[in-house]
Amino acid sequence: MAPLAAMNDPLHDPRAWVTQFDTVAATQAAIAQLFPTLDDVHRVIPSINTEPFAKLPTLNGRLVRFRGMVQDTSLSPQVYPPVATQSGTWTDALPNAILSPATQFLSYGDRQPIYLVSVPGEPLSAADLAYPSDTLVGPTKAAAKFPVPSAPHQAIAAKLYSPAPIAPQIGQVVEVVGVLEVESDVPVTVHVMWACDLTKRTVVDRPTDVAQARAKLVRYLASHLRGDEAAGAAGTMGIVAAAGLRAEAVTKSLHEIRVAAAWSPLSRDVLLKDVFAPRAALLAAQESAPAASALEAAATAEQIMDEPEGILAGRLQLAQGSVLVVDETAMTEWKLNEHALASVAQAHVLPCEFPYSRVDLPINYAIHVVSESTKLLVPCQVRVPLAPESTTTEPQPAPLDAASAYLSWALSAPACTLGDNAVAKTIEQAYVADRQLAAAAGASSSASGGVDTCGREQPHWQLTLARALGRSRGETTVTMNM
Amino acid sequence: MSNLSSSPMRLASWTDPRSSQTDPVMPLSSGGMTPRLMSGGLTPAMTPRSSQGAGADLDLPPSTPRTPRSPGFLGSTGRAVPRDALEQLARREAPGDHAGAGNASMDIDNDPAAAQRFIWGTNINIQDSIRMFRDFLMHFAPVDVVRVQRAKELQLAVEDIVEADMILTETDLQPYYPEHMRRMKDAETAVMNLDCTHLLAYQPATKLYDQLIKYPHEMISIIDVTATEVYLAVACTPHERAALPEGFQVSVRPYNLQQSLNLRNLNPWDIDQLVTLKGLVIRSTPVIPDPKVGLFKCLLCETTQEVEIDRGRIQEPTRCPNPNCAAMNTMQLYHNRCTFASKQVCKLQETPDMIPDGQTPYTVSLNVYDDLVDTVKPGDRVEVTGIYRSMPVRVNHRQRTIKPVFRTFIDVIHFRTVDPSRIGRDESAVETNEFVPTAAASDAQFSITEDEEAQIRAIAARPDCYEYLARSLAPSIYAMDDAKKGVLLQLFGGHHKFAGNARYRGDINVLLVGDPGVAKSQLLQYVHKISPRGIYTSGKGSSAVGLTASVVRDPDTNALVLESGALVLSDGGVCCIDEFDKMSDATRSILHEVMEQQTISIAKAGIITTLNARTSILASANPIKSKFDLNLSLVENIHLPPSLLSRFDLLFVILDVPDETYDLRLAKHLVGLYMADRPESAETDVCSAALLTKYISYAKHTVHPEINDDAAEALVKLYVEMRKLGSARDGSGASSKTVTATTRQLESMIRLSEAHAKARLSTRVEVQDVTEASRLLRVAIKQGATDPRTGRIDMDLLTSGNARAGNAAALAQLVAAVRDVILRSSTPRMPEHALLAEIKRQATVPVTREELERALHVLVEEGVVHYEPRTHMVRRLAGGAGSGGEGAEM
Repeated sequence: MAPLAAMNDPLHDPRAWVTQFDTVAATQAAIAQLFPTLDDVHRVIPSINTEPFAKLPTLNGRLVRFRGMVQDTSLSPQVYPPVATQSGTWTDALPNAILSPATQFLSYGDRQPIYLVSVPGEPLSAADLAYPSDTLVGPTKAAAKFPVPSAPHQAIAAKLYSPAPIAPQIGQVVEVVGVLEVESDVPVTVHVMWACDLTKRTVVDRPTDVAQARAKLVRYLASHLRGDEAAGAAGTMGIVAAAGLRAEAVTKSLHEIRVAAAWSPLSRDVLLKDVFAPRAALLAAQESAPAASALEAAATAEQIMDEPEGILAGRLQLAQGSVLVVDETAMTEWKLNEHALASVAQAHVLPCEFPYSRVDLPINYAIHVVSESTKLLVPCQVRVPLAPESTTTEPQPAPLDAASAYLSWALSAPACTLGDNAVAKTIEQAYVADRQLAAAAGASSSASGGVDTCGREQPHWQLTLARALGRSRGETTVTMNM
Repeated sequence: MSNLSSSPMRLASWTDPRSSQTDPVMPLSSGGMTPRLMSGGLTPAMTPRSSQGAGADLDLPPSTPRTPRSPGFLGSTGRAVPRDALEQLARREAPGDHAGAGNASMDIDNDPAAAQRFIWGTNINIQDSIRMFRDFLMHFAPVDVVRVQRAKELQLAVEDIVEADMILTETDLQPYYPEHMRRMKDAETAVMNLDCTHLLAYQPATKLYDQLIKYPHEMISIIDVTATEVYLAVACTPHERAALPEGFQVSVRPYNLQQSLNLRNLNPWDIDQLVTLKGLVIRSTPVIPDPKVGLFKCLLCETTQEVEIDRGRIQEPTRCPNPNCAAMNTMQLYHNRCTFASKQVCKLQETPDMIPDGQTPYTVSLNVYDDLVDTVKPGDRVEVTGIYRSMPVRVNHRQRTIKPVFRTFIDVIHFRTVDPSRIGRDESAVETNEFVPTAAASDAQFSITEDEEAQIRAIAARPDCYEYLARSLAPSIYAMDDAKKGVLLQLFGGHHKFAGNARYRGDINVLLVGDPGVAKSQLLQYVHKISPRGIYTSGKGSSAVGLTASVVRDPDTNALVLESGALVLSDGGVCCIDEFDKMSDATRSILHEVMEQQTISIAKAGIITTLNARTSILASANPIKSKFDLNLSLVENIHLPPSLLSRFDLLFVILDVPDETYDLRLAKHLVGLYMADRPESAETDVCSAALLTKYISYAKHTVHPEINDDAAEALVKLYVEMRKLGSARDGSGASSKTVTATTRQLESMIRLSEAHAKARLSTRVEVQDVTEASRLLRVAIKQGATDPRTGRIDMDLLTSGNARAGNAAALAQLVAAVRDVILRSSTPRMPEHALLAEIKRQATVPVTREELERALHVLVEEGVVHYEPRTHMVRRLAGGAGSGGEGAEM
């Protein structure tokens, strides 16, 4: 790393410092040379992740870093003048001399804004982070871009200049370094000079003894989830429907091992379909029916050309590697959009509805369902009963670091696939047997003669669970001994 | 500063840097333009920075002085048109006897000034371009394209291809555009779509393609004028030419560029170039007036001056053009004498197949002008050819300072509404007198290659063609054979018929009802993906306004305008409505008109109109108790109004009934989906979704089956048979008259028969089509209209919600039971819910609240009880008929 004295200029007045470079690429290379490792970035550059909103103006024009989740990539690319002298670069506030109508521009540059928010589910201590302008369609619509409503968070528009240092994807956790720009009525902006994809950057080594490492995680979860070893083992699988637990306890136990866990109580107010998946902001504007709001939403040429692009967040839009804790006990029956949740759990895609199309966003996070076995979010046959009263002896807690390390490795491992015919046959037969049993039990009680507890969704869930179990054990394929 | 309208194209009151005569040493740049595109018109050759203005070189009529600083203007389609000068140049070599005959002495070779006209800042000789394009128009023949294709196939140079290598028809050898222009004249259109692959294939004009891409502003003006001259020469007689309106001009619309860009790949260096983009139109504005020519009048001497718009700006004259006056800053804009074009702004969004993994779609604004306005609607998938432009935006209207970020948009020159991944629109739905925008219609032609047609014919020749196509529909969904067949026929659709003012719908409506997790939603999603103008909506998230149309106030004009909803937008397509049962009553009620009359009547805020909604509806609903109760009728299971249910042609109940063999096959199928290396579990004998889409489009486009006599007879016979089912005698020998089919079923049968014939690519509806339609209808009726109490079909269940058969007996039994409970009750007052609970406890069949209320009404009439509907309290009356004696009014 360069001596601290050499960093003084880029840290405090980066815009003046970049004038020595001809191009954006040269500037990006120079920054990368100044801060060769992520540790260097963390050591020297101030973070705005936990900086209260009111204090951000004091850092205006300085080099800062921000770690966050890519929430939106559909903001319109920006064409700006001019490129040659970099005077149009790293800022949105060009001097009047340049912006005069008489100025003749020689060339243009383009930059791609992306919207970054704090990683949902990561505990933030500061209470005054809630970003006041963090909506796309005005305060009356209250359509936030942060997936967890009312939670304190930070949000920025990160502007990536060509050549873009990363290829952003929804849900990706990234760290960006750039020039901070704070203006009223627009999102806090970071003109990105350096960026990295943390999910790719963080390489977790395979434990030397996978079984032993996993045992530590199992012990940790067993102690926190108040279950036995089996309960702890189940907790490692990702998709768990656990009875008798409190969602807060699960969330807290995951936070302690540095897993971003977003707790989503499925109460009535969040059960509308649109709350779950990200959706187009424009759609929200079109939906307004009353005359007053229709007036606001009326589309004129100027409005259409100037209206903000982008998508609003949904509860299911979480960062890669995090855990969604679903509290089934607060669920209102038959009101849940089970399709979206099933897509997330089984196919690892989040269906995102746009006015005339649907985009399946690939996601990669686990779901932990806290249940009392009275609802049917996850079929009964694939639930893991974790009964608190069954815990007689408190297992010895495992060290946090070991548990955290194993979980990080397991989550970064490739998905476990179904490669064994024997496993497939077993699942098929189990499904048929369950159906017969359920039919026999249900025929006497159910007037319908149908099957109450073993629907066609069950094999999907069983297969998903088997793959999750394989992944938790560091396996690449599902085998019969799982 | 003057302001013409609210359009984003505003008057530029600042000095245009392109005005070379005012700034002889201006740099190679201009506000908002790339360096090479400074001209907007013509300048003498080799002196691009000369102080001699182009305007001075043109013989402008003194009565209408034009601004010397803007030699051209941005035409309605975003084109720089220095028309007078170009016309002069084009006439010099016009073919035929039109203008060239009298101007032979003005040949380019003899006119050094003309030969030295270049596009400003480039070495493109305008006269060369005109000559090349004229040569192209006069001599291009389809054989040139065939030759290029053949050269590619054989990997040879184009020159090495001889005619023996090609299969040609006589028309392939004929010059294409003269004939095309004659057709244009017959069709009375001045729009000429120019396929750019023709330019590339015609060797002498290949250079034009490159020039057109890089300098579209200038080149389109040039080819417009050239095409006009050729048109007048080859397509019009002198008499016809004289009859043409003044200022007549052919508009050339280039399309089909070699490379189609993705929205996210638009770069700053594409600005001011011709680009082709594909996407989905998601919004469009109403038509707005856009200034083309501004008229300014001197406040002192009243001299007028017209100023044409140039690249989005009208240059306000700073000095009075009258040399005797020449006052500074006295020119004032006269709005009512300005010329305006129609303009519309649309938003184009990337389609899902273009979006990289993990990203969300980009959008871009489109500026649409004149005859292209309203040719595309939100929901259309289009290929747009236009000029990518950027424009500085002012900080606010009162300041000259501009924003640091430029606004980018596309000035649309051409639209194509072809979407190969979707089924073509049903053209039979369009009424004979309906206005269809010509610009869109001419390009939305269904196209198919010979190979594809052969494949389609091969499928149609299969004996199991119908089953094969049904299997190919959503092959990842296991079984549901009849439902898939019904949906398949819905996609083919029947034939729309018009008899005078009456219209008979050809669209088929299908409802899927069933247990959760039986893949209803997946089937809807699949149909939505391949259907034309498909809209997918959820009953839970839809409002009546969202489905029909809302009235909003335009802030510009303050007028009330209509904004279309999902059903209007899916006109001519399929509207998929998931969770149909969760729709509010208000929303549901508007569907009555849509599903039968296929229109939506609007009477809101003074706007009274009827919009077309010729859409097929594919809906899915869950039973109210989550699981379908076989002991209840369909109406009781899903709680939908019978009047709405009866409008569905097909109604499939999909139950999740355990069956070992079936379950095992299903499990194998599902597990197979997770295992890529287990192909035996997947359906193999199916055609691809793309081919299926093509097949359906082909059938809809080319096959319009008519019912033959045998089929007509079969239809009548089968309908009568279905009716007879209702008058059959029951087991006890008693006659019971129930309605098992109504005329709606007959109409449905006709539509389904036509759709089945289309599926076979048959031009005749035959008996086999009627038989299958009848079978499907019977299956659907059996599932939807079977009375669980009697096990017999009763259409009254769908049309009125009540079964006619056995009603009287069942009601009598219920009345007796209720009377018994009331009379035995220890208290004379009883809440209705308690009474219902007691009746349910005693009954062997389910009893609903509605049935109980009917029984109570009988008892009220008999004077046994008093029933208060408001409080739902039942009170026993003293001395009522049949009173047990112990009851007394309290």
